[in-house]
Amino acid sequence: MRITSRLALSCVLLLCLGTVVAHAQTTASVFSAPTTGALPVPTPTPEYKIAAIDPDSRTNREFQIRFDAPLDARQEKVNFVVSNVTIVGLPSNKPLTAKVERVDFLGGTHTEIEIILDSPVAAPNSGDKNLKICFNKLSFAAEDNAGNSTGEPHVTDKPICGETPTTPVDVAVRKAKQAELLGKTPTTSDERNIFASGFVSTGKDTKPQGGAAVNLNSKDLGVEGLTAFLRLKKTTDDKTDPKYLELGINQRRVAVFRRKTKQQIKEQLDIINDPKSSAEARKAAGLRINQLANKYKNDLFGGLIFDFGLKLESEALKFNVSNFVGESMLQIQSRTLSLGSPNSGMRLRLVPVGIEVGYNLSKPEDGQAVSPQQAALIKGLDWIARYKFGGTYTLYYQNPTETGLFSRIELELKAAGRYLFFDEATFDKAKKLYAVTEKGFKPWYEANLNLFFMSKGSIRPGFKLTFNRGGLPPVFTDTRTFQYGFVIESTEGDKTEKK
Amino acid sequence: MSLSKTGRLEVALAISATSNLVTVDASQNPFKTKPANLFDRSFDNPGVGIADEQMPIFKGNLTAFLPEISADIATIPDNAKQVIREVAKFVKLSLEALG
Repeated sequence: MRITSRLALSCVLLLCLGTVVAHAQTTASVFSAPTTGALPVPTPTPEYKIAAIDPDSRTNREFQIRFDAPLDARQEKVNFVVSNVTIVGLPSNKPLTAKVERVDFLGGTHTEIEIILDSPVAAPNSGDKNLKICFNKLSFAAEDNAGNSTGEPHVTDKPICGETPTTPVDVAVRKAKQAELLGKTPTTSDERNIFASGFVSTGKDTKPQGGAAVNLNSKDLGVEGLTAFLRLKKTTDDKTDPKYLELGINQRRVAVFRRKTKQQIKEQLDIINDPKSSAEARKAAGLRINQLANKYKNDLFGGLIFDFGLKLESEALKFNVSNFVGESMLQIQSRTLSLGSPNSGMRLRLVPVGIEVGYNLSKPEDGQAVSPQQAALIKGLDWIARYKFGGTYTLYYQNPTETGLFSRIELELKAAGRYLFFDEATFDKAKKLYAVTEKGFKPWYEANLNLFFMSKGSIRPGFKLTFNRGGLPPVFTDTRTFQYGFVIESTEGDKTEKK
Repeated sequence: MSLSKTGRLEVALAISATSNLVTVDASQNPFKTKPANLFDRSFDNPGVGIADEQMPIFKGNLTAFLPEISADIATIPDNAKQVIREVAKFVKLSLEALG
């Protein structure tokens, strides 16, 4: 089993390191072009494109159009002139009867705009299957860290066009496709944190060893709020091994704070969304929403999360001690609060109460106990009842520039306490045998420092330092480890495409 | 201002209710956000600051603003790596499917 665990950890480690090395090789090839003595190459005008056209089947006279780069928000007179847009039917190439009534940005972006026609789309020719939407001239610009247009505008010198079916694809099909796309989004930083650390050390008398921390959550299981999970903390050295493995299912319910204020905001949103509302009424509703949103602007906590789960907890990669446990937990989740700059923030999650109740499924053999007395006591361990509490505190800072060694720094502090109402099995790391731990308080402390390096690629390499202290179920081995290793994350969504 | 309900302002307000790094000016047409390119960012972008564990709160806030598509909102993965525009597009299609 020990060889198996080492093999498994080595595989995870190699997978992670392999990815980092692959990225390093890609980066090296990008920067390996000769520079000495080379003449400066003039920057070509970028080729801008329409990335997506989304019609609205309810009115059949609205299109949301996304470009592959941000438009220049300072150049509305160039970008949003109605005569700048031409729409023709294909293959006839005849112009659409409906005229463009309005062109404007969508809220909260400079890459997406909407076009509204004065009447529903009707194919110019009976044989026309597609519409071709063209912009004769557009002005694009880079964006600063706050998302504002900056620098020299790039004005296109030829039309930018895109096509969409004359009759919109069925909305159910488009919705299913979009749901599939959301499900395929690369895993989150936490899930991706298959932290194949390079080494583990207690800092005292233990040689460096391999280790891994895995935290995987499934996609939706088809029932609202129901997910499956797997959590693992494991090292190859018994002296530093928390021996922690949990897998199970969890049902989650959420209650957000300030419900009354949010209901009042919804009433104002109904005014804004009502096509019969006047511009003045919409403006007044918008102002009222701003006032209402200010009420929770500085709130620390955002809501409550209730978790109910069933899990199998076992020694990682061994099953000498396994428990079947039902758990219930209340969490208070903070909003993200600024630390004085838009590039930094903090989050807090408190667990004031959690209950774990279960039954022991497997116990160590008699010969695996530290003494015959302990072996007899272990045999009598059946039921599990624990109260748990704790919290997580996260701080981060993002480098607002694209220079420097580090792109982002994160510090995460975690603490969890369990009070055991019954005796449970434990692993004596000195004797490498099992014994009985008395009921009482069992703490776990964890500190993680993540340093992500500057990267222009699609993945960002990072370095992680972790300190663990305490004991985790099912065997509450007294652990003190210091880990370090590589992590990677996707940079998708970090910023808009820059040309 | 769109002719049909898109849910886009609701998405921005739900994010703002989850992170005070993001602000929304709903009185302008189209509405304005800080950061100005909010919808081009992912939830876990440092300028937005929403982590996986806060996604249920975001979805709870969005459900408060759009109760008619609560079942669809519940299916949005608790994955803060999602780009906000893609979630907004899913919300719009959910509203569009209602007719």
